[in-house]
Amino acid sequence: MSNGGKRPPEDDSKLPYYKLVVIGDGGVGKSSLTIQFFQKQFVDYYDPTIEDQYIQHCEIDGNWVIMDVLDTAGQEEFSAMREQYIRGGRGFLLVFSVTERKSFEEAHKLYNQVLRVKDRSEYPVLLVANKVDLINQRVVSEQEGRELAAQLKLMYIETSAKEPPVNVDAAFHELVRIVRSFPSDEGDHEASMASVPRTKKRKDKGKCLIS
Amino acid sequence: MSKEIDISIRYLENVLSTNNSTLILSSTAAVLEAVSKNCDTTNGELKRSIISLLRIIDKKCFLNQDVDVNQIKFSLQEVGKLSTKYPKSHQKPGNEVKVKTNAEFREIETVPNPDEENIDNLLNQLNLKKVPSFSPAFPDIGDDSDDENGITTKQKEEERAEQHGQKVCEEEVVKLPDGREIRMKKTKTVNVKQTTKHVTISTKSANMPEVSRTFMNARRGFDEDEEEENTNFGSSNMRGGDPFERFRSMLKDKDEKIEAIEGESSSDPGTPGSSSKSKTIERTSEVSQKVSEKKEKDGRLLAEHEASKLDKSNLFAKQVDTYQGAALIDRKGEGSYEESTLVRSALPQDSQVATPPRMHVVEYMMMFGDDKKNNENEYLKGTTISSYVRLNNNLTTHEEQFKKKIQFEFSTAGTSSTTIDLDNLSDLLNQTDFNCLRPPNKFLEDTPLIVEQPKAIDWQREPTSAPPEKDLLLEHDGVDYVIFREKEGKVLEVRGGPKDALIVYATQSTHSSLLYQEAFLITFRTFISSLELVNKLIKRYLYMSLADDSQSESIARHTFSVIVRIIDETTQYELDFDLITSVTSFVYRLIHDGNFTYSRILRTRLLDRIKDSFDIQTVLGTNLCKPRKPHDLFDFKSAEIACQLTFIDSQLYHRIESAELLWWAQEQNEKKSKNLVNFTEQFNNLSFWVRTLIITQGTQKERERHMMKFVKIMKHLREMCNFNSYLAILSAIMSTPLARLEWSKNIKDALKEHTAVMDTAQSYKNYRALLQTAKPPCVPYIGIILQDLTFVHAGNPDTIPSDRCHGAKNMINFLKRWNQFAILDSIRKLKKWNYDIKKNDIVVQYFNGFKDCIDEERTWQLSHQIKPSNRKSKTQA
Repeated sequence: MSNGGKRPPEDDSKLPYYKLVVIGDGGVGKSSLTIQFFQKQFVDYYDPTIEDQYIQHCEIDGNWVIMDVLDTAGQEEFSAMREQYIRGGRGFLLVFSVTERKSFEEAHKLYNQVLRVKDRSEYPVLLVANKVDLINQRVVSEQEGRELAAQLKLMYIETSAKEPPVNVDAAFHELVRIVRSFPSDEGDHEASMASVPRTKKRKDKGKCLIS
Repeated sequence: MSKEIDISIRYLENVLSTNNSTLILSSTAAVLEAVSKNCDTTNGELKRSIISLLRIIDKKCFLNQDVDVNQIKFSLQEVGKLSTKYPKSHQKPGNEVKVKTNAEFREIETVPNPDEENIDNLLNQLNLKKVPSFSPAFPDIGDDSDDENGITTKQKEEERAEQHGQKVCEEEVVKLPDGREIRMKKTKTVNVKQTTKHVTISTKSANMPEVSRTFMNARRGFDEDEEEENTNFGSSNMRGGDPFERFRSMLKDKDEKIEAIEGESSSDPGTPGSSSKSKTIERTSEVSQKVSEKKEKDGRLLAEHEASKLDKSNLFAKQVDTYQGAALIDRKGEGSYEESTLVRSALPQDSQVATPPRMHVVEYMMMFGDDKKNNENEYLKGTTISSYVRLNNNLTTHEEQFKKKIQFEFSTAGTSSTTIDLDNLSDLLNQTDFNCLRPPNKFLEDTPLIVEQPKAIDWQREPTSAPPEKDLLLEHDGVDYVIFREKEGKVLEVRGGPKDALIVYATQSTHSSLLYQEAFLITFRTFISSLELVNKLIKRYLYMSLADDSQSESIARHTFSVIVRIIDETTQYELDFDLITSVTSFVYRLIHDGNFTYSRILRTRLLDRIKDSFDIQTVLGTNLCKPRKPHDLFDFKSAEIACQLTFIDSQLYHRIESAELLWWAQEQNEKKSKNLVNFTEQFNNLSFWVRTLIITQGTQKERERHMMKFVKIMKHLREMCNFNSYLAILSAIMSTPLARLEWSKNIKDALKEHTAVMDTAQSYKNYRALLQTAKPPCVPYIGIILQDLTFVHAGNPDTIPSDRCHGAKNMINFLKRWNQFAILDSIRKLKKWNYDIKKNDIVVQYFNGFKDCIDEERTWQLSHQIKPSNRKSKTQA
């Protein structure tokens, strides 16, 4: 149930700030997921170069958070840059397309790379099976997806960005829950040479409310 | 038979055996040129024979199909016969004709057409500027003391240093049918240096009048050098003579066989050859001025002011003339002129005003030369970019920079001009002739009428129904069928519309904006293929050129120029059988209609695109032998390595077409976006090469030494605004196998300013800000462009929802294309500029294509050998 009266707190400098990254093979539909989540589709004007476009205030389980979502769709072939996306992320949507077996196999490799870069045996990652609306073109079954998730000890979710969207908001919210449930490691912060202080005041930019 | 026709036909006959498609097509163009100049181009029989010749040659050279050479020769002889039979109708018979012909021939040799563009005329238009004297306004150094004692000294220095250089290079290449080349080259270099310095010292002491003394020092230098070289032995006495004369003389000296042939027929000058003459001019100018004032009292400095100004200008121009015998076939040229000014002065010490951060105050782009309507055969066009940047290096220095650059190119399509001749209307309507010119099926498929669509002016307005069976392509004005965005009753830019309406609107000369045409030409591939668009434009051109009113003629001309523009920017992927067939069949139609000028222009452009194949080894490879001792990273200066990386990047970057970026955002097809893939691979290879070079060093000291070297290289790359290599090296240095190791504080500090650029927060906010302030030339990191285009493509629908168009369907959403155009245009502007870097083969050889890499698995192994992993448990790979 949605409570329309609620708004994000005025002073958002104390809110938890999560940098989330959407990763996956090229062509799996990552950008459509991200756009659907930010609810910008089918309006007159969608400009991806506006820097605030990827910031979202969100109330999840009664607590407000700030989500900074990075989706590098289009850049997948720049493999030398991939580690930089991974280094800066606190949680990952690991997306494959149920219509492309290659993207399913690639997801496994990407997860290994995340663990390697983070130097951890576990990390907040959500396995996302996208394009489930294309029933006739499906080549990766739900059972296979769940088996891989169990093998990697990940949560699993099936999504579609087409109208009507399926599980799009749920995927991002579930990832925030996973990030929260992981213990914070101070070593992570120290290991990063790219720590940049966040500006204290931030414009309110959209909101979504989930009870 | 005309001499030009005979020479060109004989030459073409000879080159047929070489199987060199480019040479055959160029020679065919010469035949076409000669015939159109000397024959009655209204004759149907002659035109049909030319079309027959072109068709069979195109089959062989453009489409690479097996063709009997004898068949070509037969067609060629047929053209020769008919050209003899149908000379220019204005010529008079009898002996008088011969005399007149000789007179014309002599005139051509000695007096070139003064209306033709050439380098000297073009240079006059550029009107190189003179640098005025620099007179900065300093605050007054008033005498604020009424103390009669003591000595007050005021000194003013003005210094001006000038340096001018010019290099003129003339080169001639004569190509013989057997493949031999005779090359002559003459280079003249002039350098002038001049320095003047004025010092004025005024002294005032108690009870004495002011005394002023002026000193002046001047120095001048002059240097001139001339060089001439021949790659083939020949008489140097022929300098300055007619190129054809030189050609014949050389043949006579070198080859007895040719002399024998010439002896057999005195009117036959021997085997014809082609020659090209090029002239290159480079001028550089640099003026440095410095003015300073200071005031002292009793040896104590009271005030001091200083300002300096540096003016630079560079001019490069090149003209290439191509001759067939003594006849000028083609003339074209290109060049650029650039000037910049840097002004630096000290801020007043008591100034409290904070100056703004660096910003581009003025930047504009201007096209010129395109509106020459009277010269359909010639064109001159260029682009001017000016920018003004205000910088603040520190709190005490104020710096301003002005920059201006002009790029131009010019060309002639021959000296002859033809107009549309309607006398052959009966031939045009002849069914048999028309069938011979039948375009490919895909073209015919467009002939059926478009399905009726409602007339859509604006989705906010009330639509009216269109008449049935209307073909939009045949309308003069498509404005009524285009959807515009409207605001407060004012019509703004195009919002969308049916496909054909957008095409018509892009080709009409009125009611249309140049910006829309530009956006259309950059983005049309997202909703229509080049082949389909070319076919529609051809249909439109043919219809308009049949009408006899001036508006239709204007539309036809405009449509043709759009066709030429599309051919110019065709990618290698699009040059397939169907497109080539469409264009060549259109050429045949133009010849049939007597329009030799347009047919020649179109054939030349098509040939240029086919010749424009790219081999990456020309950038990454060298001709050097392996060095006796392998080079080391530290054998080269960091700045030189950065320069050569930038040379490679800019060469690859400039090859990328806008279409490849748009296609990648849609489907990531490597075959369609070949040049983009090359650029991406260069990024990856460089990054993996750098991390290999660091991780494979055996000691901590050596690893840090290599790391610091790359940090220096990165600094130079950033100054050069080469963000592609900059981010590639940065991604290597910050890669986890390296970043997790121990590094000295020295290295960590050096990296601090760079790591912020890598931050992915808010979709690369820091990098975007850096790119915004970059001054061209610049090589961007193309990944961000691809990401933005991908999101524009995924986030905006291809068509306007029908509920916003009063139920109309399939209305193309042009707002999406405006977004794509805006992103592409920002980097297209960067392409207007380029680096002035010469390839250094030694450094490029050291790079060795950046393929000396260890794989990722090995990299991780080495990293963990150096420093073990912290992982609690091993994960199954």
